[in-house]
Amino acid sequence: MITRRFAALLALGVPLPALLPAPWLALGGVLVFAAGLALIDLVVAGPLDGLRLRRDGDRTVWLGNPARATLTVTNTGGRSVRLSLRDSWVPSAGAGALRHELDLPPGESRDVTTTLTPTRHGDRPAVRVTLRSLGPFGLAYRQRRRSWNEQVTPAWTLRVLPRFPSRRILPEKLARIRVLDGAVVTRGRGHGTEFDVLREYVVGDDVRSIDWRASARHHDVVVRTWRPERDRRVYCVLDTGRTAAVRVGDAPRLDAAIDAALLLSVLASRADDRVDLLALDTAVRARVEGGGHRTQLPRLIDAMASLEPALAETDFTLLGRELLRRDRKRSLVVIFTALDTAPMIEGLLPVLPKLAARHKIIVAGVRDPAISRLATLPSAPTAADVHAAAAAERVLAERDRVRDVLSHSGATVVDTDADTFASRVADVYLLLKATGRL
Amino acid sequence: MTARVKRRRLRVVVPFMVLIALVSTTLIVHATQQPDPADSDFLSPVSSAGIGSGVLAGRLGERGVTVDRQTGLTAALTELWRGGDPATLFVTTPDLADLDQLSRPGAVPPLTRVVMVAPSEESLVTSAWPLHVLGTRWTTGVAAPGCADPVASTAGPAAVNWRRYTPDTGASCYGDALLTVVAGGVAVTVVGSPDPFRNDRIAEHGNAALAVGLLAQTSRVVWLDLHQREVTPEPSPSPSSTRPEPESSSSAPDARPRPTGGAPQQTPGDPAAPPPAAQPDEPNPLTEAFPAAFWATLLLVALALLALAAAAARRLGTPVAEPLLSRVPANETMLGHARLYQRSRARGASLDLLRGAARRRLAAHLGLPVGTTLARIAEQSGLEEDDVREVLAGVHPDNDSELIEAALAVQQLERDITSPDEGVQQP
Repeated sequence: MITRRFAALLALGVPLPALLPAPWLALGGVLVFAAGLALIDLVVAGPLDGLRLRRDGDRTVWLGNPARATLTVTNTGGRSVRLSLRDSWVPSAGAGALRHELDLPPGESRDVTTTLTPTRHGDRPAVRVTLRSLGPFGLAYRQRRRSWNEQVTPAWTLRVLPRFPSRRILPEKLARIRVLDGAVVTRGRGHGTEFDVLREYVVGDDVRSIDWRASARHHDVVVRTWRPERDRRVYCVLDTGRTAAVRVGDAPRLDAAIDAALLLSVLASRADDRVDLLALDTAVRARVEGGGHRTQLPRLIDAMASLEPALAETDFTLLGRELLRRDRKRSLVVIFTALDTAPMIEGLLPVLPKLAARHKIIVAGVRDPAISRLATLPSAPTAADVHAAAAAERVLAERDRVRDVLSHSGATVVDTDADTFASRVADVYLLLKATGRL
Repeated sequence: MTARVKRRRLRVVVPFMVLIALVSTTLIVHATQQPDPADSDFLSPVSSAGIGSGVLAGRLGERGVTVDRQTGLTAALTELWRGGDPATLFVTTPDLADLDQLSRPGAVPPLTRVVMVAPSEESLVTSAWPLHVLGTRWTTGVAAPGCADPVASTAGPAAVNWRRYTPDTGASCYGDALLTVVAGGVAVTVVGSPDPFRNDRIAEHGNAALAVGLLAQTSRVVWLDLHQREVTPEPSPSPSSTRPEPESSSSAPDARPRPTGGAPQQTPGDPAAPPPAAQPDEPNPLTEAFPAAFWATLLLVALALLALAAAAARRLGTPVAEPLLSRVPANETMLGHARLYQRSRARGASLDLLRGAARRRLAAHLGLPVGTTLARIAEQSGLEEDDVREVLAGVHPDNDSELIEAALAVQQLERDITSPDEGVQQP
């Protein structure tokens, strides 16, 4: 194929037919000269078959952080290659500087580094590396068809882990877990209902926890200490249906749910509970169950990373089928969804009583902060503001009604704005943990 | 909103539509009222229709004037040449007649009078007579003669003032609507309007006297009753040389020689008109117009542009597509509701929603059961019941400013009760 330089060469010859005595001969001369040079270029250009590609770099990255992917090009052919290559990623991978120019002598390698700043979580694949070998004059080049380029491209996928803004409140929540555990001496001992150890009485201990039988054996006053229950099951259910696809602020509602589920998972695994995950809309999209405490959390994060909202109505009967299996132990089921009237009343409500009979259910709905904001009139309102406030009040009233109905069916409802959502869900978990109601 | 805009647009559009309808109706009616020269009745001496001239022909007959109706110009000219004495050629439809042929020197016998009825500028420019249209009125008007011409002054005011002609020779009557010029021994008279000659108008004003006076100056009138454009043979390059002028003036020979003289010369000339395309050996004049260097340069420029397009067309890798996330905001339905309320001006419904929400919140704040009465709320909060009732169950607003006022009052009441610092002092 020819380059723009070839067109420029032809353009340079434009005055010649007018200046020389034989215009048609001059035209033919210009064409033959340019075509000859281009042909030489094409023949001399290094072959593409001898090039080998290898990729290296980051496999995972948290959303919001930059990642680097290095492409190593090796010339195994016998001739030098003037290479022009384009490293194509999907647009949401945020790849910078797609085009690179390289000079590759025979047997040598060059590294091409692409900086990626992904804009969405999930798998961001490298699609294709397109190679172009230029001739010495730059008039013509060799480039193979797309399918060939896709074939030589090394497969690479960057897994972008979801944004986890609640990380900043994690230390505070973990501190509260340590208080529950009794690991931190605040006001004596840890809370809980599970027997931990016996120890000698010190002044300040609750006299009600003195174990008289043990005191008789030890000839000393001995008290029982308690600790919170362990190895309880927390089951995070993420609704990835249409209500999760809509935008709250600038991100899909699912992102807020994932953030809260991540915080809850981290807390629960630190408190030695088992965390399982189920994501579903019309079908089960992700499922993480079993596994040890330590390996569970990375698997959860990995599973959540690949979740994307689907524009479909969530089928909550699937959830019922999963949770009502005979071998399923009693769990704390946290359903991350939206408290919209129709999907809740027609989808979740019919299965909720059965679920609540076997499990402890929390329905956590992310609320759009804009609704609360619009429900309050500004200082100098217009008629449009009043109507918007009325519509917002109507939505809030409906949501209250849904909350009441769900509460009647035995679920605990958390309904908060997106910014405080994760914190509130964690608080409910900690409260249940502290009071031994898991 | 759009209904209001549509109404406003209608208010602008309707008067213009009425105006356009009025103007176009007027134009159409005016056009249909104008007599059509192509109508076979138009100023025909044998027609008794309104636009015919049977009455005029009859009156000329009463005056002893012979009316000789001819339906073709050639026949009329022949007829003019045949009679020995001077005659009047009455051209009723000069726009359809070939004035070029008529005005050629020697076409009509000397001392012939030619009377034309309202020729247009387009047909006058084809003639050799120095006549031009000065202007055309909307309708024919009645004018006083205003000249010394005996015919006009005898007739008095007549309805001829439709087209006005120039040059002003001093002998023009009726405000330039009746004009006579003499060219080559032929007196050419143009009459500005067909009205004086029509059956239905001849009785008005001095129309009859004018029409009869114009045509009865000679004992014979050759009446050219022409109602379709004549297809006249193209004049040959030198018709005058073969025209039998001298002998035709003396007597009345068969006036055929002119066409027959022209025919032999035209016959070879006619097929010679289209041949340039028929000769393939001739070089294309366009290629001849520019030098070869120009064409070579042009071709090179085109090739360079083609090469540029080809180079730009091959991309280094095609763009990559991927599915996008939904862009629908969570509160879209709510905002849609708000706009619907505003569109339908549901002020009452909006205010009721706000009041209901405020009542629920106040009841919860004051520890009262759901659905409690306003009286209980007022009692618990220490406010006058009438005040609370006016704010939370007052009349519905009639306009937007009342709605805003009422909504602010509801919000203020809620703030007064729920925040004790700014609220009303408890008794």
